[in-house]
Amino acid sequence: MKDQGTRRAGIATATAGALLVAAIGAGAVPALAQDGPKTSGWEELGDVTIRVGGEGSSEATLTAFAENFTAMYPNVTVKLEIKSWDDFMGTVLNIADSPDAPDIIFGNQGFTVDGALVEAGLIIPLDPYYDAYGWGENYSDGAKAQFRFSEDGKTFGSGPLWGIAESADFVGVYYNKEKLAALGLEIPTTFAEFEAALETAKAAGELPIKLGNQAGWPGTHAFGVAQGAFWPAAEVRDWIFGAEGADYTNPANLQAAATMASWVEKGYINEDANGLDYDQAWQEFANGDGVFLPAGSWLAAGLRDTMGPDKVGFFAPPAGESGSIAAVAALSLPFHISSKSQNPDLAAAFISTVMSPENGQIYLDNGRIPAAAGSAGTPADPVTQDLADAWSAIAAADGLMYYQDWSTDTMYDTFTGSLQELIGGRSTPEEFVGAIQEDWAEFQGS
Amino acid sequence: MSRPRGAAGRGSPPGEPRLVGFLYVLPALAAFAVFGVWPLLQTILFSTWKWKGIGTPEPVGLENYVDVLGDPDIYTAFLRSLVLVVFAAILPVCIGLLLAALLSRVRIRGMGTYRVLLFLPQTIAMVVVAIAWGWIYSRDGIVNEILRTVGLGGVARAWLGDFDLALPAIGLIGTWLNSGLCMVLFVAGVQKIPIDLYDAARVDGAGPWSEFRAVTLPGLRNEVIVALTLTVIFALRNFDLIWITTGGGPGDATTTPSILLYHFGFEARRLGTGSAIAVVMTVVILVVSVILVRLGERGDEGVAR
Repeated sequence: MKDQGTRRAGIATATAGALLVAAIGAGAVPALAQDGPKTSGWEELGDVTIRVGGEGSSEATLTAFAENFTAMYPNVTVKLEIKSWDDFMGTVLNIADSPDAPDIIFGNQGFTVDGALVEAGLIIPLDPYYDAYGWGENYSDGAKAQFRFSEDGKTFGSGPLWGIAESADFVGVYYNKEKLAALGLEIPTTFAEFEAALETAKAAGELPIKLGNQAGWPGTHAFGVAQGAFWPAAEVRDWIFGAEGADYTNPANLQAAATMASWVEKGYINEDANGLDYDQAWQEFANGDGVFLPAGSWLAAGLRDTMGPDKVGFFAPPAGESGSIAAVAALSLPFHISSKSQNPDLAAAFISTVMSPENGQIYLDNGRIPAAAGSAGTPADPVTQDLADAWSAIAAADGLMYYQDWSTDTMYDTFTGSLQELIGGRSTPEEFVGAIQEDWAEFQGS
Repeated sequence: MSRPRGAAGRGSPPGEPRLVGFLYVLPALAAFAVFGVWPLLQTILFSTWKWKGIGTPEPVGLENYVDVLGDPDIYTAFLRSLVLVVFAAILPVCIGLLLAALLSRVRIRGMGTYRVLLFLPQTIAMVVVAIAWGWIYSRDGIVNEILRTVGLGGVARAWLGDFDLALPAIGLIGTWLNSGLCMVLFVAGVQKIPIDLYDAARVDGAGPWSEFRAVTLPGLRNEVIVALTLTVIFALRNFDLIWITTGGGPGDATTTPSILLYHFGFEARRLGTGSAIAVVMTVVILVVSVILVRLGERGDEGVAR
C-alpha cells in the first residue's frame, strides 16, 4: 500500500511539471493528450464547482469525500445532486443529455444506461485517468470489463473504459449461526458440502433456503449460487458481452438450472417463494425462518441490526466442480465524466480521491465493501468482516459473474420471468435456458 | 374564415352557429390540444422511430408495428386483458344490476350508508388499493387466515404468486372496485324510471324477474352502456393495479399490454416499440368504446319507436 501511494505521488509530480511547461507554452489549452491529463494544481483554478449527479446509496460516502476534497482545495466546491434509485434511473439519460449536465454522473452497467450514454456521446473515455491515477491496478480484468464499451455503444465488454466504481456489490449466502451450530454443521467450503448442508437442514425439519421471489430478481441472485458452481465466471461474462458462439444452453449451465429446480422439488426452498415479498423474506429469515439466505452484500446491515451482530454470518458461494469461486457480483454504479464538463480533469481528481484505497475505512463505516484489492480499513463487526473476506475471495478468483440482465435490453424481464417459471415448476431446465438464449440470440442478431 | 368578419351576424340564416361560438370553447380546446392531441401525435411519431430517448432517432417506418404485431406475446397479453374485462367490467355490471334491482324493490334501512360503503373503493387511490390487496392475498393475509379458520388450510397459498390464480385474483380486485360504481349509476337510473311502469307491471302480475327484464333493464340501457364503457376501458388499460400487485408475474402470468408497454418503453428504453404498443392499445380501446356507444345509440332508437 505504501509504495502504491509513493508511486502515485511520483506520477503527480511528474505530470505537474509537464503541465507547468504546457501551461506556459499553450495558454488556455488544457493538458495535451500525450502528456496525460492534469492531475494537480487545483488550488490555482480560482473558485470552481464540480457537480455530481448520483444515486442515494452513495450519499453518505460522497458527502464525506466532498468535505475532504474541499478541505484540501478550499476554492473547489463539490455539489452533490442525489436522487433516489427509481428517480435517478428514470432520469439519468435526460440529466446527462441536458445542457447543464453535472460534471460527474452515475450510470448503470449494461446497454440501457451506460451503452446509451456512450452511443449518444454524452460521456468521455476514462482511459487517460486510469493511466494517470493507476485506477486499474487494484482491479481484476473481470472487474474492469464491465466499464468497457465500443465507441458506438453497441459492443459491451471491450473498447475504452468509460466508467469506474469504488465499492463492490456481490451475492453470497447469509446463514443463521445458531441454526447452523444446532445442526452440527460447519460453513460449507465446497458446493457439495453446501448441498449436503441443505439436505441435513431439511431432514432436521428446518427450511434450508429462504427466498422471496415475488419481484423476480431475488431468484436470479439465488440461482447465481448454483450457477457459479458449474459455469466459470469468465464464460458467463463472455456470454453477457455477446461473444460469438456463447451459449446459455451449455451443459454446465443446464446442470445449474437442473440443480435450482431440484432444490425446489426437494423442498429446500420455501414453497411460496414466487409469492413472497423480498423484504418480508429476509425479515422472516432474520426472525428465525430458514438456515440460509442467498442474497446481496447490501442486506448485511439490515440483518445484523435485526438479528444481532453475532447471530448472522456470510460466505461467498462455495466453489463447485470448477474449483473456483464465482458469484453474482459487480462493482457499484459507475462514475462517468460528462462530455459537457468544463473541468474533466478536476472531476477525475475528485473521483480519484473517492477511488483511493487509503479511504477504505469510509466505505466500511457506511456498510459498504471497498472494491480495490488491498484497501485500508477494519470492518467494525463480524458480518462486515465476513463480507470483506468473501469479496477478497471473489476478486482474487476473478469470479465476478455480473448480472445476467446486462446482456440485452429486454433480458431483465426475460430472465426474471423465466426463472419464476422454473421455480414455480412451470418450465423445465431446458425450456428455461432456451428462453434466455432466444432473447440473447435475437438481440445479437439485431 | 373566408367569410368577412361580421357577416355571420347579418347575412347568415338564423340558427347558423356564429364564429364567436368557437371563442367560448377555445380554452377547453386549447387544453385538449396541448394535453390530449399533441401527446397522441407525438406518440404516433415516436412509434415510427428507433430511439432510446436521447441521441438522434432513426426513422424505421412501420417496423415497430411489424415487430409488435408479429410477436405472439401481445396477443397473449390482450387475452389476459379479456379475462380482466370479464372480472372488472362484466361482473361488476351484473352485480350492480342485481343490487339496483334489489334496492328498487325493497326499502332498506340505512340505504345511504350502504351506498357510500359500496362506492368507497372508487374514492381510494389505486396505489393504496393495490398495496392493501397485496396484503390481503399474501401468505399470511386475511384470505388465507379465513381459509385456515374454516379448515381449508390446504387451499391457502400466496395467491399473487400462483401462475393460474394471480390473474383472476387481480380481476377480483377490479370487481370489488367497479361494482360500487355500477351500482351507484344504476340506482340513480332506476329512480328516473317512471314509477307507474312498475305499478303497471305489478298490476299485470309480473314477478321480480319479469319486472326486472321488462322495466328495470330497458330503463337502464344508457347507464349500462356508460358503466360498461368506463369499466372496459379500466380493464384494458390498467397498469398501476397490476404493476404494484404482481409486476406482471409470476412468470408473465399477469402481463397485459400496458405491462409490455412499460417493459419495452421504459425498462428496455425502446421508445419506438413502447409507443407502437401504446398506439395499438389506443386503437383497440377506441374501437371497443365506439362499438359500445353505438350499441347504446341503437338501443335509444329502438326505445323511441
